[in-house]
Amino acid sequence: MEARSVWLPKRGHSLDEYEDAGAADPALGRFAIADGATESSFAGPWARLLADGFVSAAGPQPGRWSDWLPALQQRWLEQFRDKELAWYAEAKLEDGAFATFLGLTLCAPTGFFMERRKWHAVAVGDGCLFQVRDNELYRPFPIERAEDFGNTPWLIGSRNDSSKSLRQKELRAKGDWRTGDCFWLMTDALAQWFLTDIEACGTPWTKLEAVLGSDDSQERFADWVEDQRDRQALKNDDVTLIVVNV
Amino acid sequence: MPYAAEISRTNPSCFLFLLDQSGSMSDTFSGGSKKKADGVADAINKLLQTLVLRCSKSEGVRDYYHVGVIGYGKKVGPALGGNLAGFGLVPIKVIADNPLRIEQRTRHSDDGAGGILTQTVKFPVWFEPVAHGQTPMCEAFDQAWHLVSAFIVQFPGCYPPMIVNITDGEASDGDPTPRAGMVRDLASTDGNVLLFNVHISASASQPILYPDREASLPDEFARFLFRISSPLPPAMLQAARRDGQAVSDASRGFVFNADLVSLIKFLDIGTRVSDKNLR
Repeated sequence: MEARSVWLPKRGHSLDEYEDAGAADPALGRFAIADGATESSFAGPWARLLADGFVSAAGPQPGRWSDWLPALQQRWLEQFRDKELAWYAEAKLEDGAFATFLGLTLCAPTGFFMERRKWHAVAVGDGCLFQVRDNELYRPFPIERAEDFGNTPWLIGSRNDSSKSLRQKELRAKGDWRTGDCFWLMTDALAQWFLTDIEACGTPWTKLEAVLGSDDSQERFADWVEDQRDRQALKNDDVTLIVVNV
Repeated sequence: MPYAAEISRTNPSCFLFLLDQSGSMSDTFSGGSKKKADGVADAINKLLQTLVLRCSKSEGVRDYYHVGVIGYGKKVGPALGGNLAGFGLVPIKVIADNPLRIEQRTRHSDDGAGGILTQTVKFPVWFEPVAHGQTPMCEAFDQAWHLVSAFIVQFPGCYPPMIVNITDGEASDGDPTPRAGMVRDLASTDGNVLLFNVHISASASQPILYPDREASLPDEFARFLFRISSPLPPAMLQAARRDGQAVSDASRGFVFNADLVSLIKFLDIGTRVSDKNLR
């Protein structure tokens, strides 16, 4: 199992202002992306906590929200609550930060269960997972059509978002995998481009693979993203991509 | 496609508020003791607060908008006070950092467990109620034309500037219709300037948001303000529908005894935290 990741902030934004996050632990078979909502403050650190928190959680993933999320919410608040803040920053802190989230676990075959190659995913919002098999899109999750993206996705809040409310926002999926499959995890702007390309009978994974298949993949990815933005094929937004080959 | 320009720090848009501060604003709302001038002050303070919060990020306030306020009553001119006195359009961060004062107010909210949560929140005040003199709305539109023209010269590709006129509709210096038309005729490469109106009326009629025909409106001032209001651009209509607002393709940027805060939320500056996520 091998994972690669690339990312780029929104055009006109500095690296510090990038509010997506991606995390991968191929040994555990865990991968996550999160996308901090522009309108909320302190959203980048929240997205980072979510992605890292999913991957490094002690229990099985995707687990129950109550098993791993409250500790992250507490850590988010502790980072900021004692700071001297302007009235607007204080109001935003009170509201909390928000982010979309997608977590994927690939269960590796072990011992007696050699044939049980399963994956499990959980999504809140429009971060996407695409499973590609034999050069075809085998499984999209949770969004299946390019037109289904908007600017008000479901989000995980860093405050006052309980397990109960998250059960209403989440979507869960599971499936099987086999050697040679590729899992593409990406935040919304790139996912929308990906689905648009498929709807035009393209194979977007081939295009991305051509960009990523080199030593300087981050640089080439940045050039490619800027080119797509120029063509208005890709919405100007933070972009995060994790590719998992199994 | 018009009204599609990205709103960013390098390509900001503009909000210019026109505030009716005439003597008629000291009239009270039907059946109450609250004056219309209080309604105007509430409306502008809430609008400015919403704008600031939408642009506020961890590192501070991002200058997605330049903002100005023109008052019209005893005189016509820039109406921001304190450190902002005399300024036309200023970046939103300057507005954020210079309220006249910050009040402590109590906010009640659902605690998610069947109880009520009481919190103290800071409420910035930029405007005090003013009600003095005539209603020179035509002159206010003239000044708006000059300020917005200069902004468009500086940012020719901007999302079209938005002018929000908050008034009871009774102009004293002639028919503002031609002047309002001149303002709406201004355009960036992304489309014509948008003119929105907030009608503060003493009438006891129910609030009306984004109507699509004047026949449904309660009085001649409301109908006049509807006629000079811009239709809502398609992206705003789409956002309004997603928010559950009853709008049609002919809906205009006009509200009657209601606030325009929702309209600011319909502008796309990135992923919104919609109400569905705030339960």
